[in-house]
Amino acid sequence: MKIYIDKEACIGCGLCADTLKDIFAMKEYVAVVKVNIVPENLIPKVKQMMSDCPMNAIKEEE
Amino acid sequence: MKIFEKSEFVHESLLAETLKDGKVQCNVCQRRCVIAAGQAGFCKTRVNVNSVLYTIIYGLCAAIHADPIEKKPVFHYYPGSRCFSLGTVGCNFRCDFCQNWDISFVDATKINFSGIKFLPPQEAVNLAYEEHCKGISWTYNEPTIWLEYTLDCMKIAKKSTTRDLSGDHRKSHDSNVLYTVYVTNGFATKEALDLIGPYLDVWRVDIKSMNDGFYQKFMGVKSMKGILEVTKYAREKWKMHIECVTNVIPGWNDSEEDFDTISKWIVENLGEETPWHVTRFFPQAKVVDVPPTPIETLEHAVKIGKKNGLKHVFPGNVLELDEDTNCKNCNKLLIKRYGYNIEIVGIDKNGKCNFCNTKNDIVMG
Repeated sequence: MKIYIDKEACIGCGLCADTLKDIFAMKEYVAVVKVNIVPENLIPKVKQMMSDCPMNAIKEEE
Repeated sequence: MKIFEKSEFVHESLLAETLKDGKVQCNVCQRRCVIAAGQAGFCKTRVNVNSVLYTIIYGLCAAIHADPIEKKPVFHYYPGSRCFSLGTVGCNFRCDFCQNWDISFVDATKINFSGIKFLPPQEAVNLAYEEHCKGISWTYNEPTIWLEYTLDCMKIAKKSTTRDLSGDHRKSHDSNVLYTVYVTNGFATKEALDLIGPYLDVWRVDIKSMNDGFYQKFMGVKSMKGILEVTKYAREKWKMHIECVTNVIPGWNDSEEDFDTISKWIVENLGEETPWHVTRFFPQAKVVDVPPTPIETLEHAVKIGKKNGLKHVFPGNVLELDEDTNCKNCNKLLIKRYGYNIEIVGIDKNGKCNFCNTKNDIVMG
């Protein structure tokens, strides 16, 4: 699974970076994805975060 | 965006900070959205146009009513008075169980403004007097999102005089002007509170849970601690009258621990006389598969709140349970309530009990 942040939509609230430190970080006010591929064991948590993100700014690459 | 065709609704935002790359940070609420050019923040009511942030809902009233103040619910400030109540569109939360979802879930950047009435602040205050109201409240959805409008309204409501913060703040309200109420989720920043603090009398705040996980799951915010800090700040710095509400939802925030932690926090930080309203949930918005809160659950919350030292815990949205106010000292009946029928029976205009003469923390109108 590959994900990215829609930088126009992200409001920089930091919820993802706070909750999943291994996957997300904050840079220049918005969230960034730290990994190329989401580790298998964290996929359920990342999917949850995609739904919890207040701006739906976490996207899965096609 | 259609809104820019109706310029009276558009005002430059307060508390906006310009960042690089054309972005602007909004510091009105604790989300502190970083908004790219052409985008809106979470509440969808503040838009970045060429690196300037604008509110697009100034004076946009989606709900206008003259309510009993008890409907807020506020029980210990001008009991029995009518309160002119205004709501707008949008919110900085999107609670799945919102009771006012029809206005709070609206995306202001997408609505057609042509048929919506603009209510200037002076007209809002005039209407409040015409409706025989003693106060004005911003309610139904989060009032902080139209900070600029509410601030202008409250300055007019107070005839530009700031509240007297010396001594006992409960004597400070001047009955020649309107009292002012925010019915809020408490997610304003301290900077926003510093703007409204000189003019705002009542902070009616939701404490939905003390659990960050609850706020993360249902509101998409990292932590609820900021709500507690700002509420304490409203009390300590701005000496507002505070009442807290917990809407109790079966299976979500109805445990003994929930009631215990919330009531203990209120006692320790706001004082034992702070009213705590535990209100009954009814299926709303996206939550239709959860039953209404059992009455016994509310009775349990009342019992725990009182055990922890709170003097006034009120069940809400339920006629079967007692909502009266009794004296904190002698327990005699001071204010009788049945629904929105209010009868002042045992308290004088200074808040003193007619039976034992103890001063209760109640501002009488």
